[in-house]
Amino acid sequence: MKYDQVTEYLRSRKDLSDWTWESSHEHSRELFFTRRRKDLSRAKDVEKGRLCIHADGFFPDGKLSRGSAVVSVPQSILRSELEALVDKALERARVSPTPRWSLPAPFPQPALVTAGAPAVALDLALLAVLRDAAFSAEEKPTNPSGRAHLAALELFLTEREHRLTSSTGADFHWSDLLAEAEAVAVASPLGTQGRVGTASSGLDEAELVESWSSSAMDPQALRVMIARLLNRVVDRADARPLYLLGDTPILITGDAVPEFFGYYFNRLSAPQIHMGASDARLGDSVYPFASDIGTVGAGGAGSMSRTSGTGGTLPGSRAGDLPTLGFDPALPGGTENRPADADGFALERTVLAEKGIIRAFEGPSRYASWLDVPAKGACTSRWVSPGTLGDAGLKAMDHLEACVFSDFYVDHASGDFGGELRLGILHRGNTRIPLTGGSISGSISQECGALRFTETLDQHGPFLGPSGVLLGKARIAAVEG
Amino acid sequence: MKISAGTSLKRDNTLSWCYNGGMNTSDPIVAGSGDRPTPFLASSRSGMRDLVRDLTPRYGFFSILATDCGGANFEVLPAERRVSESTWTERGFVIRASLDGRVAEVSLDVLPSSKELAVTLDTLLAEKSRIECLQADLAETEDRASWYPPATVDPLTLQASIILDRLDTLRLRAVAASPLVVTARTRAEWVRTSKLYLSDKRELEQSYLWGQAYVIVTVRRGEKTKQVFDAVSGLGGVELLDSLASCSEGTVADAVALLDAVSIEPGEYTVVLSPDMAGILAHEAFGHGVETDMFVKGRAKAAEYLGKRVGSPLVTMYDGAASAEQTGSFLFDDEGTGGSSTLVLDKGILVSGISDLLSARELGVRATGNGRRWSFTRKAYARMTNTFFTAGTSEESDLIAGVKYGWLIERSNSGMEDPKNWGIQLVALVGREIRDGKLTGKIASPVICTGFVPDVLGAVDAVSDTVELKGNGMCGKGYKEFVKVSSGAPWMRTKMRLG
Repeated sequence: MKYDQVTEYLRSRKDLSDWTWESSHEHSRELFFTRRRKDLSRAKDVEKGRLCIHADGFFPDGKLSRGSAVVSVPQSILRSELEALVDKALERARVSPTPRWSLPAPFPQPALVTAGAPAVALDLALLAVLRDAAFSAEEKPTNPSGRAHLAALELFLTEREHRLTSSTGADFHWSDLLAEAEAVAVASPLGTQGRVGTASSGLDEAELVESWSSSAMDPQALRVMIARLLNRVVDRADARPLYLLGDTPILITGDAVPEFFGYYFNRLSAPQIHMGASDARLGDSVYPFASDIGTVGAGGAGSMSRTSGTGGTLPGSRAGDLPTLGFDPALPGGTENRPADADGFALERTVLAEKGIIRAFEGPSRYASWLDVPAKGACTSRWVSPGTLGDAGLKAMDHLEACVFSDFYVDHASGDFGGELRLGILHRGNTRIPLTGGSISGSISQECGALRFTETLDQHGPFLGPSGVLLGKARIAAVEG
Repeated sequence: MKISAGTSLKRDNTLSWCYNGGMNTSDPIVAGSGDRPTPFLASSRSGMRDLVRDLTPRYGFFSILATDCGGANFEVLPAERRVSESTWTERGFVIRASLDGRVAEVSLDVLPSSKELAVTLDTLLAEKSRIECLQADLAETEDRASWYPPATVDPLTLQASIILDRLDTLRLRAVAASPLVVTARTRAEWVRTSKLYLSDKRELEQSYLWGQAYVIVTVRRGEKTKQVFDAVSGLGGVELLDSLASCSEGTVADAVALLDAVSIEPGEYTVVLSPDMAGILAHEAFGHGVETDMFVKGRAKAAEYLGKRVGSPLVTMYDGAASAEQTGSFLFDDEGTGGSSTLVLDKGILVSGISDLLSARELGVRATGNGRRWSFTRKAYARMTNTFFTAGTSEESDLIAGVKYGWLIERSNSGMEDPKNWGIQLVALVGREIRDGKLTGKIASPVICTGFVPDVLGAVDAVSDTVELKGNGMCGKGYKEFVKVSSGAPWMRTKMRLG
C-alpha cells in the first residue's frame, strides 16, 4: 500500500485515540571489493513503515491513561493485513496503559526538509567516483611508505526519503543522502616485505578497519579518511607492545570519543531518568560523584584543581573541562538529522548541559510529561562543545594518544570504561612511539573533575564533538612490564 | 541450553527438524505441525517461480530469497509497559544473478516484472571500466526441503497482557530482592523467521520461532550505581520465561556485590572463565577468525594455520546451524545452502573454516551453510551460527581448586575479534578473586580481558564437563552486519591479561 493509502485508512479508524505513521524509502547502490577486485554490485529499493497506535482509557482508580504500541508496516502490506495489524497494535496498546499524555498539537509544518546533499542521480558511476577517491589514497603522497594497502573496501550510497504524519496534524517530509564506507587496511612491518611471518615472530602484517559515513557526496573526505587509515596501519605494523607508562596522561580519540560522551547523554535521557536508572535532575551537576569534583558551579572550565593517579599534577593543566552538550536536529554533516521525532515533536537545537550543569532532558515528550519538565523531544544528532585543550598544550605534554581501540566499552550506569588498544602513539617530546596491545581502563567517577576536552572537533556520523578526551587516572594493562 | 558431556552433536540427534538436504525429492517434507509458509511467502511463490523460469536462462544463475520475519518486544518498567515490533521484523526479497562469473544482487519490497528486473541486473552486471571482477561459479545441486518445527505456546498470537503480567511479576521479584535496587526492568522478544529460497535447482522453506528474555537490575548506594543483567534465549515460545524466573535473585545479588567491587590490578592471571565468557572467547577467537570470506581478503591469520596446532589438546570447537539447538539454528542459510555442523578445532588443531557460498567457491572448499545476512537488504557474509567449545572431564569446582592465585571471570558484556593479528578483547562485569583454590569474596568490575589468541587457547589446562549455550545479543562483522547467533562452552581455565 502506498503511504497515503495507509494514512487514509488510519483516519477512517475512529477507534484509534491517536496515531503516528512514519515511512522511510531507501534507494541505494553498493560496491564490494577485495583489494581492487570487484566482488559484488548491489542495488536496493525498499521502504519500511513504522506505525504507533495510541489507545486512551482509564486506570482502575479513574485516572486517565494512554497506552501505545508500535508495529512495522511493510510496503507490500495488503489492506486486509493492515486492518489485522492495526487491530493487533490496538490490543497491545490497550494493555500497556501509562499516565495520559498528548501528542504535540497541530502546528505549522515545513513542507520539505533536505539534509545533506541535494538529490542526485544515483547510479554506479557516482559510486565509482567514491571508489576512485578511496583507491587514489593508496598512491603517494598520501601513502608515502608504500607499505600499506586496502585489503577490502565496501561502498554504500543511499538516498532516503522520509515522511511522518500524525493524527494531530503533523506532516513532515524530509530527504537526505548517506554515503558510507568500510575500509580494511593492512601494512607490512618495516623491512619485512616479502617475508613470511609466524604467530610470534613479529613479522606479521598489521590490519586496521575503519568505518566512514557522510551526509554528503564527499569523495575528498573519504580520501582523507583512507589516507589516515593507511598511515595508522603502518604505525600498527611498526608498533611495540604496550608497556607501563607511569603517570603519562592518555588522550582517547577516534570512535571511542562518542562512546565516552554516551555516558552523559544516557544520564540526561528522560526515559533513563523516568525508570530510575539515572538520578539526574535539572540544575544539578551532570556528575553524580560530587565528592570527586567538589562544587560544580557556574565557573565552567578551570574551577577545580586535581592530581593524577599517582599524586602528580596533570601536566599542562590544573583543572578539568565541564561539558556543554546537547542535540541538534540539523547538525552540520550529521547522518541522522530529522526535523521531528517519532511523535511528530518538532525538534530544535537544544542544550542539555551547560558547563556541567543539567539544563534539559532528551527523550520522547511523554517522559517530559511524566517527569513534569519541559519537553525537548528525542534526537540522536548529538554535539559536544570544544574544550580548552589546544594543540600547543598537547605538544607540550608527554601523552599516549589512544587512536584505535578494539571496541571501546563504556558502562552508562557506572561510568566505567575500557578497551584493548589496537594503536596508540606515545608522544614524548618530539618523538612518537607506536604501541599496540594490552588495555586501558578507568572510570568517569575517578576522572570527572579533571577531564580535558580538545579544542578541535571531529565528526562521527551523528556526533560532532571534541576530537579527544584527556584522562589522567586511567590504568594500563601492559603487554610488557 | 545445556549439552551434557558425551552428548552427540550430530545434527539428527540434536535437532527436531526434518531435513533432506542434497536428496532429489519432489515434495518438500513438512515436519511438525501448525505452521506453514506465511501468507506473504505463499502468495509470492508463484511470482518467484516465474522470475526464476524467465531469468535463469538469461544469466545462467538466478535465485530469489524471500523473507517474512515478524516479532515483538514486550518490556515492563516502573510505571510503564511497552509493546513494540521487533527490530528483526522485515519482509522482502533479495535476488541474486550471476553472468560470466560476475555477481549482482537487488533487494526489493515487491517482485518486479522480469523485464524491469533484467534492466536493473544488466546495469549492475555491466562493467564498463574493465576493472577486475570476482569470477564465481554458483552452480547448485538439486535440493528441496522444509522446516516447520512444532509450535509451542506462540507469544506472537497470545494476548499481550499475559506476557506483560508475567514479566511484571519477575520485575517485582527483582525489586523486592534488595532495598538497594533503584530500578528493574524485564524484557522479552520473540521473532518468527520465515524464509523461502528458490532457484532452478532448489526450493527451500523454513519458519521457526526464537526468543530471548532479560532481567536488568540497577542498584545504587550513594554515588555508586551499577547495572547487571541476566538473560535466557532459545528456540521456542513463552516457556522461555520459566528459565528467566530463576535468574533474578542471582542478578540482584551480583549487582549489590558490584557496589563494593574494586579495580583489578592490571596483569596476567590464571583465569577460570564461565561458560558465557568462554563462549565469547570461542566466538571471537576462532569464530570470526575462520570465516572464509576473511581468508579471501587476506584478513584471517587462521588461513596460514589450517592443519596446525593453535590451542591445547583440551580445546575442541564446533560451529553450525545444526550443531546445537539455539538462536543460531536454521535449515538453510541466506544463500540457499543447507546448515551443517563444522568441526573447527579438533583437540587444538585448526581443521576447518566456516563459509559463505562465494568464498567457498573461490577457495574450493565446502560451503558450510554460513552465508548470512543482517536483513534481506544487506549482502551475505560468512557468519557464525551456534559456536562452542566442547566439554572436558573436570568438575567446575576442580578448576577453581587448582588455582593458586587468579580470577573467576563471569557475566560477559561484549567481545571483539582481531582475526588478522589474533588479539582479542572480552569485557566481563564480574571478576571473583581466587586464592589458594578458594573464592575470597573479593570482586572486581569491570574486567577487560585481552591476550594473543594462540597463547590463550594454548594455556587451557582444564575444561569442565558441561556445555552451556546462550544466544542473547547480536553478532556484528566488524562494526555492522548484525546477525543472531549463540555461543557457549564449558567452564575453562587458562591465562589472560586482565585490566
